Amino acid sequence: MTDSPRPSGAAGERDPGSFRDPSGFVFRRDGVLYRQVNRVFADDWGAAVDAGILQRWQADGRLVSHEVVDVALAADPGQALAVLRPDPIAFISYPYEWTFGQLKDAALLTLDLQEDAERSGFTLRDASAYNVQFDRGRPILIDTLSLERRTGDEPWAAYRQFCQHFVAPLALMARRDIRCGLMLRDYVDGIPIDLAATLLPGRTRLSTGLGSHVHLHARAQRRYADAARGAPRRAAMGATRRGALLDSLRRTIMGLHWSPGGTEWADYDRETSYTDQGTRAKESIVEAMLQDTGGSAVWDLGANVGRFSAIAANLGRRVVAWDVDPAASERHYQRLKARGVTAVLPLVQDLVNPSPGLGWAGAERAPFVDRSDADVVMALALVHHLAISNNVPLDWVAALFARLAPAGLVEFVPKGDPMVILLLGSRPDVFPDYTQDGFERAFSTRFRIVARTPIPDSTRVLYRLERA
Amino acid sequence: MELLAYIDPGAGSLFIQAVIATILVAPFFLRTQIRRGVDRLRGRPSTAVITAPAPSDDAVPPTQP
Repeated sequence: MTDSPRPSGAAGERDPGSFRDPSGFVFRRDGVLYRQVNRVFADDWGAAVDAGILQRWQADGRLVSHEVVDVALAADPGQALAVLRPDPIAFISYPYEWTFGQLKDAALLTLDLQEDAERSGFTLRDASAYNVQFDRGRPILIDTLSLERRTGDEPWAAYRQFCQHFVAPLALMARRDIRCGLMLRDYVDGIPIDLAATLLPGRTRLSTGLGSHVHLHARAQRRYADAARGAPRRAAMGATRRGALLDSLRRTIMGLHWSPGGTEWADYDRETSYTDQGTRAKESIVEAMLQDTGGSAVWDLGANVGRFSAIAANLGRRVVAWDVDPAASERHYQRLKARGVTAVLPLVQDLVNPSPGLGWAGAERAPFVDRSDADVVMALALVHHLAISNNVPLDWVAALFARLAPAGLVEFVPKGDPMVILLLGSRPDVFPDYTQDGFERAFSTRFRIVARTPIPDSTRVLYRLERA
Repeated sequence: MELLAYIDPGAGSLFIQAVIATILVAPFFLRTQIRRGVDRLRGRPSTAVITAPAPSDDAVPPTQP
């Protein structure tokens, strides 16, 4: 949490990402997260509560649960109608860190909720991907104030936002390049439709879904961008037409697929230099070290498809499993989803260029390094990629890990290892300090080495570290 | 109500969604009716998405100035 502008006379620390919606906002008081509902939203809030729609969504796990608490806790009492205490979400992630499948599931949740809202006489006022989080393996709506009553046959006000936050990025990831998902970092309100139309392959114009929701949409935006040309007369959209639109959006999203493969790390799990015996030994050592380390939350850096994240999860730890490769993370997500594993959250992250603070004042979306709640940072078969592939000094690697967690499980892979030989195969060896002694020296500046265990059948060593 | 519609829906976006919906409403309505019929024959509750009686509620097409 960073410093943020506060309304005059307010108490509590307003979330720096919660300022656009006049119906309420999120704030913290004494470290507890609350949501204030403003009086201006009284009618819609009352209607949603009376209709039971919020309770229904909470009961089936599609909306974050909350408890109504004393309105005296309001951060801006002059405007407060009610104060809610939402159930905490274990870890806040952002759409530019999600895998293709996660963004697609978040899109489908948003459409599910809009369809359900329609049936109950309501509508979603917004369709931001940031309204969704992943909680215990499932996408969940966290914006309790997204719902308002329908008052007539208006078009869906959040259609453009849905297309920018979901249709455009998913289409670009599926039809152009999976790395286009990172464009969501640059465009905090979703990828502009005209940009998506420019970047998508020409043949997507022939697709009913993308042809409509991206290409025609972009043309319509251009047509009416100039206020001098006049706005179109307000078009009524009855229930069936609204249903047709949502059905088309669903079909468009469902029709977008991306199969992991062909990226650098997609097959890494099958191509490590370990023997089967070495792999089993490493798993046993990791398990023992995790047991010795304790704690409840693990950040697995370079998690690949989650072989070692699973060990932490089996020990009852909550795991955020980061990997630079969208293919590995997507495979990981799909495996977890298929197996119903809820303790592990796979996310995409480039440690060499991690998610920065974004949005207004760089504070709406918190940077990667400020979001760690990990008790243990696990970096297995990772350090050589940072130190050799990316020239990051070992003591800088140690400094980052020490910033992320008070304990670490870190694997050192020496120069004689086949993977390091491969990394050095196409470049001069300018890493005289990349030795086991050099590793221990560098990490001793930030950590105390509690244990070092050679991995059988390999030249690698696993370290258990505690922050000094 | 207007105060709380805090995101800009975009004039072009409002217009084009009405156009798209108008084009798609007939096949959508047909699919919905077929699905309802199949559900009824199989004795299942209908899984059709929108519970509109007929497309007549959509009689007003989008217009331009």
